[in-house]
Amino acid sequence: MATDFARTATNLVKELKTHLEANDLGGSGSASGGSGGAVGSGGGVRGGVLRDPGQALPAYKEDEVSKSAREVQEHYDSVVAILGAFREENREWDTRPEVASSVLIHHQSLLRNKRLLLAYQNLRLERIKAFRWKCGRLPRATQDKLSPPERDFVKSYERILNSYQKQCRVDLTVGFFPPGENLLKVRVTEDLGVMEFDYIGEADLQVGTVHLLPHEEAERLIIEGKLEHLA
Amino acid sequence: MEGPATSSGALPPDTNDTDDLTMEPSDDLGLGPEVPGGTEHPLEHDYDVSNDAQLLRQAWINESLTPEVLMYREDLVDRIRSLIARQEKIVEDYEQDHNQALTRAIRFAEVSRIKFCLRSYLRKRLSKIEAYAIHIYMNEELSSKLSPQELEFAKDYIDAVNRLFKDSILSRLPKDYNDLLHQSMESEAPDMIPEPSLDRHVFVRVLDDLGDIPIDDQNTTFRLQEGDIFAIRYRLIRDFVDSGRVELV
Repeated sequence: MATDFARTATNLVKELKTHLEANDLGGSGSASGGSGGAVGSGGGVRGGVLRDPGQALPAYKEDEVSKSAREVQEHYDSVVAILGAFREENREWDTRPEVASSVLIHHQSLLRNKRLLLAYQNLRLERIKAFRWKCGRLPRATQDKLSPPERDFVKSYERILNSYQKQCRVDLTVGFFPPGENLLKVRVTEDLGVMEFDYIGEADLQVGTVHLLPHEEAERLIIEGKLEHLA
Repeated sequence: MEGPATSSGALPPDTNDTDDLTMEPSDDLGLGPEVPGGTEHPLEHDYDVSNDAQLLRQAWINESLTPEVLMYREDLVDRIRSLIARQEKIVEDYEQDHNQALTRAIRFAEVSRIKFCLRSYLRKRLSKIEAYAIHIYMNEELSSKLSPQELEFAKDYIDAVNRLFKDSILSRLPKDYNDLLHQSMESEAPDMIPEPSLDRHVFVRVLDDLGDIPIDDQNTTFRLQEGDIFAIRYRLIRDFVDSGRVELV
């Protein structure tokens, strides 16, 4: 079982590392590992695949997670078994250091797995939130990569955020960039018809036309991919 | 800056049907003299405008640079809100007045910047609240620094995150090990709550003579005088940030 543990845990660590690389959160090294763009179905998805931004949030690794959880259960069973046997022997810990240390090892391995699992989930959580803030909502490609509990979380996060914004009467999903000028030069990439804007009034947004629009409203449409910012 | 030359030019002149130029009723905030019919003497506001905007800017900088969430500046945020409303009204009212085009552009730029600052300030706080939600929520002193809305946000956020971790991970772990806050039942005190690192170094400008402050256990002290700028552990000057006796740079 010891080898089994080593394997799954290592896979998880790898998973986290790939995660970090995929999200440009650190660890730019070891990219050469993916020379063939090898996709191991079990653990290390590495290299080229992750450079694709559509892959920035890898699909939830249900298999890995449940494997680790099973392993945790095995450790737990061992701890319980060892402790049970030891109690029956009715001796002091001092006299059996080997038993004490095996309990400790199982215990620590268990904690380690737990930490890794939580860290994995937490990283995904942060990433999901980052998407939410950056894109206004989760892109469809990303939504498909979520686990059911994550989908629930996205829903409640949305609700919480909306209720906060409503109560504070403020829209926090725009205005990420300090406005340098009043009007942004944009090109329309999606037909929007005539829209009403602050400050400048109406504008007829036909595909391909160039406009100067107020910063805040332009930003919202740029984030939604309906306008293109021209420097 | 003004770009009526392009296709989205200025609004074709149509009559402004709101003759009512009175300001928003916002004077219950002790904002200094309100000018009735404000568009006639809009410059009267400017002292307050720049002052509150400056305060907000500093609050935003402080919030961005400190590891922990600071006291919510409720009165300031309220004042800024009414200020934004007033400025936007002025911008609107000047729409037909071509003599005021430049003033209008400047005001619009100003109000956009203030809005950016306010949003960024609130966002910054939310992101810190998210990161340390449980820590803040379990500590009365810290949760008193949040606005009621933020507190509610924190509470709901904790619930959502708890549910996520429970559903996806913790429910699969054996009992004794399935708590989000404890590594296992071995640990009596919760030992898995992320806390901000208060020992991070920050750059501060001292705004007031603070005298000698202790910097370690050996009674070593360190003199902070007005105008000094230090890189210092946040913990040491923590109490002075909310009281406005130091500011971060």
